Amino acid sequence: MLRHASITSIYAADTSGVASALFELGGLTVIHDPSGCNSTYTTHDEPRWADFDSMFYVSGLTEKDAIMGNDEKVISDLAYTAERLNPEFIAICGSPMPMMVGTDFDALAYETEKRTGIKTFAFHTNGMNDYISGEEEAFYELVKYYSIEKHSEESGDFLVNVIGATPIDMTDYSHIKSISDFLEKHKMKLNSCLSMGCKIPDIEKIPDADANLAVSYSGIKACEYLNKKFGQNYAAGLPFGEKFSEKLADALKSGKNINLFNRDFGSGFPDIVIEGESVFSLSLSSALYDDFNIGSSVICPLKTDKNFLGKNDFSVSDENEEKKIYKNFKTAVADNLYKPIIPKNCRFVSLPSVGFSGRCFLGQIPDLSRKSDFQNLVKKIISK
Amino acid sequence: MVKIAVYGKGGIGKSTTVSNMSACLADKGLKVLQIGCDPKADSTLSLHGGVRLPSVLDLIREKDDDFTLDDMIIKGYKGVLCAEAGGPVPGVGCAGRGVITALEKLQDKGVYEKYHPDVVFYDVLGDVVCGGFSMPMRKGYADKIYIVTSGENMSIYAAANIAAASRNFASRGYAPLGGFILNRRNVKNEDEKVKELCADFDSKIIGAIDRSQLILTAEEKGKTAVELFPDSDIADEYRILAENILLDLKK
Repeated sequence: MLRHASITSIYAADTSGVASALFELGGLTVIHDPSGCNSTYTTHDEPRWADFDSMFYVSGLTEKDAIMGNDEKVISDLAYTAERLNPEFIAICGSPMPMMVGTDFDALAYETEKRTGIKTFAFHTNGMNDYISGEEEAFYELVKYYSIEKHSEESGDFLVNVIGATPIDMTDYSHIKSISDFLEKHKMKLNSCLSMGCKIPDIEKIPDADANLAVSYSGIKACEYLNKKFGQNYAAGLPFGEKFSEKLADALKSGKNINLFNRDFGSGFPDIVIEGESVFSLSLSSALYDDFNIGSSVICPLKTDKNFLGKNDFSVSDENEEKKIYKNFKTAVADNLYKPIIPKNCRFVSLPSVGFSGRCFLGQIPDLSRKSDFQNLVKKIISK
Repeated sequence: MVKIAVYGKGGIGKSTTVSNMSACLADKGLKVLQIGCDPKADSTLSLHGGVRLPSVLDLIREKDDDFTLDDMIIKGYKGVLCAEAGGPVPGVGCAGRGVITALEKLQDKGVYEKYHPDVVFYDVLGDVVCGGFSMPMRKGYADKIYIVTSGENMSIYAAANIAAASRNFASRGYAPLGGFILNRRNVKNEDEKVKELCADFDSKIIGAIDRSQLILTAEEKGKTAVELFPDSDIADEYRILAENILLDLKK
């Protein structure tokens, strides 16, 4: 699949996804990289950088060490640093140069863990994939390792874990609060949120919940694992609009894994297209249809499950392809940095996301789980 | 499922040995997957009549990711599943990285889940010259490695280098050395020299193959000796070698 972008921006990369997923967990995360990019992983793509400390480093890989395969350097540096900082875990992530020389990250993690006695994760990032891939691997590995067994007796509450939450998609904690409010409104309760407002004990208590809510495609793989291991059903979606939120609540309580994105707008293209992360964009598209009978297509430029997409949706990440698609629509709802490729006869409605424009439009990102923000966006979409 | 990586000096007879073992095990009714890890993409030729099959890297080059598992695999003698990693254009690119990409692609497309092979052979190019050629030894790939050598000095040096690499990788949880396969070239003191090599690495000769014109005759016809001369002594030697390796893996 082509992934060309000459005018538009690009989404945060897999490394940033791992960094964001691990940011609050108290681990020592090292990007095996020549240096200079730590700010990308943990500031440009990470709004929490100014709020609290987190142990992120780059290994300072040199050309000589890469050519010579001097893996011992990074292993001994990790062991030395871990001994002084006593992290909850160690995580080592790849970048383009180690990918090109075929570095075995599983072996680095194996040796580091043996030497330090501290759980060490290897994340197979290479900077070439989108943040969803990195987050997906991080969430999956975290639940595999820490979500071992149920702890508590039945509390009487219907407990739900939110899986797949990072500021790259969720922007800030107020969005998580809105999701928590949605759960409360439907007689459910937030158990753990992986991983915003999350520490290791929160991951350990994930098995205590009744169901899982994947708020980004990056949470699906972890949800599927938890479904197999503990029988927790899951639903993917965000509580946008009234009717779609009802459907989402019902799906969580149903005990089944239900795909809520089966929209059928009849024949022909709708007038509106939404571009963005699949769970977010498909939730918005579904909510527009359920509450206002407005049909819309979705362009998903990030990793997703094609079963989520309908016949009028697109899985593309190439700018020229996107340009061609936009020509079929009268209204485009997308991040501000897509605006230069929207045709002049297509109305543009701004919907920024951290994953695409970083902190450029942070203050303009709506919380669509809040009724007022959702209705404001709908007004902009339907106004002529 | 058992997974076996076979290494050895270039030209020592790895592909011939592996293909004959694949044929023996297929004769026994086992489902065998043979993956050539060499840019020349010629590991499995004698299992499917000498016809070139598109390598995994050829498919990636031409179709990006728009191809299926079945495009990478063809069925050879008695259903042996054959795949070739392939490589970049000679003289450019990175062959070792190519092996990694090809093996990852086969895994990503679900080769082990779809075909459920009983035995997987990784037939690996020459020496462990870079990280890419250690891929088949890595965790999740081979259970053990076996090194083909003759009594020729250059072959023994190469075998010793590979065995040393395997020993160095023990701390990484890589596949351990299972033993040496003696592919006789009828040089002076051949068995003694290879036994000495084994002693240096606290290892053993897992099987021996005599030099035989039948092997060359079969190869010229695009077949294995096991297929073309099933009642020959050389076919029996391959059967014994394959059995010994399976027994060794059960230990």
